Amino acid sequence: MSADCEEDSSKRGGGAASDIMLQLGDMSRPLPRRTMVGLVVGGLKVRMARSVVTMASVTLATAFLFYTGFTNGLYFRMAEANDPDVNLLLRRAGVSIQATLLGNPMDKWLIGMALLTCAVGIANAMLMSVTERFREIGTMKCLGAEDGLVVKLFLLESAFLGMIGTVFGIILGSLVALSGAWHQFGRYAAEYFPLMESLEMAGWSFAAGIMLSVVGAGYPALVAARMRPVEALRVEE
Amino acid sequence: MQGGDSPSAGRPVIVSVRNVKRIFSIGDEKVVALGGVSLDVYAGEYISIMGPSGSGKSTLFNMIGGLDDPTEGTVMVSGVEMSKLNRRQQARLRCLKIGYIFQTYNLIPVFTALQNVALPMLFAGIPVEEANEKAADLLREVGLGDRLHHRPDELSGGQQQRVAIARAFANDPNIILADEPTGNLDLKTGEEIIGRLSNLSRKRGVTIISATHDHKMLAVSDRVVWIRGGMIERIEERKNLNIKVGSIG
Repeated sequence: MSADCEEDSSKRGGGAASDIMLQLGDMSRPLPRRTMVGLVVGGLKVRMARSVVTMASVTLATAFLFYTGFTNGLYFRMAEANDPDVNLLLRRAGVSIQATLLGNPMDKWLIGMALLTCAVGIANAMLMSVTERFREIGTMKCLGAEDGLVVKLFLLESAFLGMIGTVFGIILGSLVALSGAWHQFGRYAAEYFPLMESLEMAGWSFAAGIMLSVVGAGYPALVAARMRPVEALRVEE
Repeated sequence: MQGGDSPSAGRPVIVSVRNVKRIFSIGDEKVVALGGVSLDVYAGEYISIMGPSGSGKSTLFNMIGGLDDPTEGTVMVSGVEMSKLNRRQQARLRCLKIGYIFQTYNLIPVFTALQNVALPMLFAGIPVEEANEKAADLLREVGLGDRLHHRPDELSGGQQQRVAIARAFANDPNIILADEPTGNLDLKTGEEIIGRLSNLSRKRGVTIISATHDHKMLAVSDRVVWIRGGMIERIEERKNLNIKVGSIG
């Protein structure tokens, strides 16, 4: 490639080709962290309303996921105890003790649904927030941003949003789950508190929330970063 | 070549467009935006590409800037064929050798004027302090010394375009591409922007390539390339322009 470029340029008396190839070979240093964080945090602040909506969808999805997991764990512990009083409460709450102990397919289905809702909601919100900004991506590419940098910026932003959203989601989910359990089962909720299950579910929700945020934003960011700058610029805002 | 070399003889060619065709496929239909265009742009000249919308003006402009690849033909920028570079090299070339000015300014909304001008330098790997210093100098040069820390939404259109001009000069490019730089500005502000752009470029020997249908741009152009129907209709030197402007205006 460079051979015929240089040949051509020398014909025109430029001699600039080798010069440029040399400079192009000197690969750019990564953008300073301060600038990256400035872009990300600044972007989130300027699009506050947008960011809150995106974050809220992560929060609600993870809250639902956590709630479902917690409640399942609690039912299982209570059913396992096989205490007549507890069984009565469970039956009153419409929980099938046998099915819970055997591993209710209904519960699995619920958790699956929660996860799916989480995935679709988060991916959609992230997708929207990236596609809105194709023009900004095109501009950055014109200024010399490499594809990888554009993707990195969006991944950083979505991971950040996802992390905050997930933490809020777990807090919200546990508040709702705890108050619901306290209301239904009183002191038994504390006695059979599914600590391990809750922690496990919190871990899963956290991982799912962040992973889905990153994947949801990563894909459109990758598409945008790989576009020719002119295509990205042409997209209407 | 169509470029004609009388006024620019001896000056090196900085952009060389050879038999460039650009065909867009929309469904089964093929739209020919450029039907085989050749053009040489000389270092340090101010060249305007004129033409009505849909004439292929923007397409040619994008080809020159390496923003789009030709379907056929070659575009050489500073002796390098753009489409033969890999993505990183293209990004690098855009970063170091080409400055862009857009009709809609396209500043990064979350950044101050200073940060906007410094950004291309950071992409180029210049340390933050140095980049900020140079950005401040450039902004002072376009008369925005007192607006360094204002964000784009706190600036008028003309001021935003001045920030964009400063940004375009940030990495001391060889070429500045200006796409309808006065398109969103009123007459007076537009004139001021054109004046600043041509002054800065003359002072630094930067080549300006501008796509426009603003006749104010004619006065500062060394040459004007008229595009119609995807072909170069004619190329005019500045000395022949005055008569022409009169007949148009």
